[in-house]
Amino acid sequence: MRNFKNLIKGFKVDEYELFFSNITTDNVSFKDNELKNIEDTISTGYGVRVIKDKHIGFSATNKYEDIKECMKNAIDSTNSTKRVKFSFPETKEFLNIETADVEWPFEERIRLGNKIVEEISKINQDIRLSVDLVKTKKRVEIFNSSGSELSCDIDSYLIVIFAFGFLKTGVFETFKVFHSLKKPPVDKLNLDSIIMLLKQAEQESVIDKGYYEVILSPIASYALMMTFAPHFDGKNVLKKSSPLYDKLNKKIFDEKLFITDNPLCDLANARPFDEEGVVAKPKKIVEKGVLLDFVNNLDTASELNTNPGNATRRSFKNLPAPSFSNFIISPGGNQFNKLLDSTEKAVYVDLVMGTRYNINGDVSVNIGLGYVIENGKFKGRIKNAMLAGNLYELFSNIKWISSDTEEIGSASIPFICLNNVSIVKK
Amino acid sequence: MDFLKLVQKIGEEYAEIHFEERKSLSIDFEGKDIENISQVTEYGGNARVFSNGNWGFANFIKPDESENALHKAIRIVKLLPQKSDKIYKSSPIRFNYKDELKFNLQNLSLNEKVDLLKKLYSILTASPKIIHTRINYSELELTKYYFSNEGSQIVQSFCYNSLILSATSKDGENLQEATDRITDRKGEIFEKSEELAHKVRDEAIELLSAQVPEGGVYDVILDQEMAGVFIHEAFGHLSEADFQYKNPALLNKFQLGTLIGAEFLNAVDDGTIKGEFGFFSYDDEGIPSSKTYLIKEGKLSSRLHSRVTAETMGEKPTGNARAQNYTFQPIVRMSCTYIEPTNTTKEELFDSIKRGIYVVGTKGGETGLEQFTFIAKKGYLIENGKKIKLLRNLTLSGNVFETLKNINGIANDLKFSGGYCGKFTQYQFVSTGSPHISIKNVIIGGI
Repeated sequence: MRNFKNLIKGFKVDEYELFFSNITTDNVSFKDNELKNIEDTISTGYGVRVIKDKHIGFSATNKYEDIKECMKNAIDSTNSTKRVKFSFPETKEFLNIETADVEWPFEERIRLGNKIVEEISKINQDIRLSVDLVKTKKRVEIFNSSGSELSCDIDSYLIVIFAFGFLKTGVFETFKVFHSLKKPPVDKLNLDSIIMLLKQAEQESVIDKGYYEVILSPIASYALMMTFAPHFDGKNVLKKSSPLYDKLNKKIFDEKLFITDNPLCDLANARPFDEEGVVAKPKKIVEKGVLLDFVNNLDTASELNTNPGNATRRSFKNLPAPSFSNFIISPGGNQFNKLLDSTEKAVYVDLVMGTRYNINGDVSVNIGLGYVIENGKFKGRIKNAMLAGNLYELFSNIKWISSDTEEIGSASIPFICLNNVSIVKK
Repeated sequence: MDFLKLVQKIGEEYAEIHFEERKSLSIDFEGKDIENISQVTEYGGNARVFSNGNWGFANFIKPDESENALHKAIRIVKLLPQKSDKIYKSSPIRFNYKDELKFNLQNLSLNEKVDLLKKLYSILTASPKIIHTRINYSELELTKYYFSNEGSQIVQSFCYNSLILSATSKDGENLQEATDRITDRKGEIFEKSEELAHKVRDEAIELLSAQVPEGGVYDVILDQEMAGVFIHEAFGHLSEADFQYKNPALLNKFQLGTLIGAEFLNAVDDGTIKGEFGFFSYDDEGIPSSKTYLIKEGKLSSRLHSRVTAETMGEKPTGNARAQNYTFQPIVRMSCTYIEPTNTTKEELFDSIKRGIYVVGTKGGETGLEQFTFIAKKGYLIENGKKIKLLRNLTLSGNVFETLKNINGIANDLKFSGGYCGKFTQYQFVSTGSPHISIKNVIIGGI
């Protein structure tokens, strides 16, 4: 890190923190089944926080020469901002994240992208594929008045496949994500589920409005869970604008549900320390359906008298806010295929549309891609259907959770079967 | 750094350099506490080169890195196999623009802005039923520079201001939330802010007594905000030529001249409306913004284009290539998208509904191109033209082509809202607008 100490000389503050991030990305991108682009991008910048007379200030810039101006702006803002109880942490040691900077030549990515397109489009010529093969290098440095001088470099490799098309039965869309910190995730690449869903979407099935067992794909579960992720945010808990604020150690979900935040595992948001310099540790959030903890940054943790460690910045321009790093739902006991075999009648939901945060956890979403399951078999897709309910009620009535999980960038999610879900149909 | 001289040295078919300077302020209240006051300055640019049917792209931070980025973009484009895409060429343009402000918010000190926002907090919390509030205020001053090897130099300075107010109400275990927003390009943002605070507070309290609708198929009336988002999300994105031009199935569905709605249905995208959040003079490829009829007299009329989609499809460019910032390439985006009004009144629309739902406001929506889902702020059950019951958790869903055909009334009360649109991980400033409209047979989600 450059000589920040010299830049901040002469500024009278009680505490300071400099956050630096530099992210370089190169992306080989396919669209509509052909190679579209190769993009090389860089984003770099500095976020400055100060604490003066217990008030916190913030400013940011991507010009190193403007850091002094940032300090002035941050100090000015302390005249109006709230009082805080926390101090910047002194962090000397942390576990390293295993990551590797491996060559992933453009030519190799182009070949792989072409192969993915060929494999799927030979099933159906009307399918249009977008494929992104991305390598990212992220460097983070945190330097604060408590003596922390931290830096880490995280490499990340991602393959994102989005399949879209107009079939006889209507619009088909699904996507898959493959990720690794150590090398291009070519050995994780598996197109079987996309191919299966595509084949099964060639015929249409009809269901009536009513209550059904609903099997959620990992992506659908994740999308629904993220609509009420803010309920676990320490900030909302503090303000009592989360319905969970008084539910600590109480049962909020089915006992089959275990949720962990784990910044140390090989998923997209792995990091050795959070974005305030607090050492990264796994945190149990829900165990056997019981709420054990919330996600907190230094500020909310100091107010709630609990542990921080979940601070994430959207970019150097943003303040660190409580957020899940890697969101893990623990797998269940049996494989998905075996559980499916024993399913008499259900609706399989691969993709949901229209998810939005709701303060109560109420949800009403379009089934973007869904199928009828009868006697363990896919019996065709359904159209113009919505599922509705309250997510706490829905996830309190879980029939099963599969042992197989899918990694979706920064999440690891199994298949989940819910009992008694309201489906509305045209 | 003489960007124009630099880019004009490039002998490829087309090359451009962008550079931008941003200065932003945001003030965030959580309850009575000012969580954050953040002032951010940022600059950066990018180089794009078009050759053999392909784009190469690289961005840079400091101006003296631009030459490197340009050469990187050239190296990248040479790696790509030849494609049949073509690019529209234009004559050189020299243009300068700056948003006309009714009031310059920079003339208010930080403390004055904080005091104005504190006043809004006191309005929001003037009821014991309100347990929590949020206020997000932001200003952005953005200057964008565009240079091309056609010899163009375009400088545009914009200001984008926004105020979002949220209030959470509580009655026993029942928690409800109301949120609303003002956007502004002229510095007038505080003029309507108190009215907004009253509205948000009252709506949060009102929602405590709202009921969840029974899911099913209804005749609906959409208010201007929801109808504006509908035409933008459900239809506007389909009109973006970068979705269509390599997709024969979508092109087939979107044949110009196809009848998709009633004769009185006209939908427009217009980037030339000064003062609207989605306004700009030139897009990010140096093409002037324009008024484009997407639907005219019920028929598909035009698409929205970039230089490449226009030339490749043999159509005129429309000036709709826009990038979120210098780390992104421009893609086809809407600007100000709206349904044109007719002579029918809102009252006449209501009178035509025996039993239906009046959908008010929107918390957002999503489209899977043909399918859409939108979430309303609230609604009312209508019987015999009258609102009889307040509703919450209202979600609309459907197939866009079927729904457009089912629009059976458009009122005369056009109104615009400013906001943000997401596409392929990029966000963009847009406006949406519409009068009240009535639609038959819409799926409403409920319990």
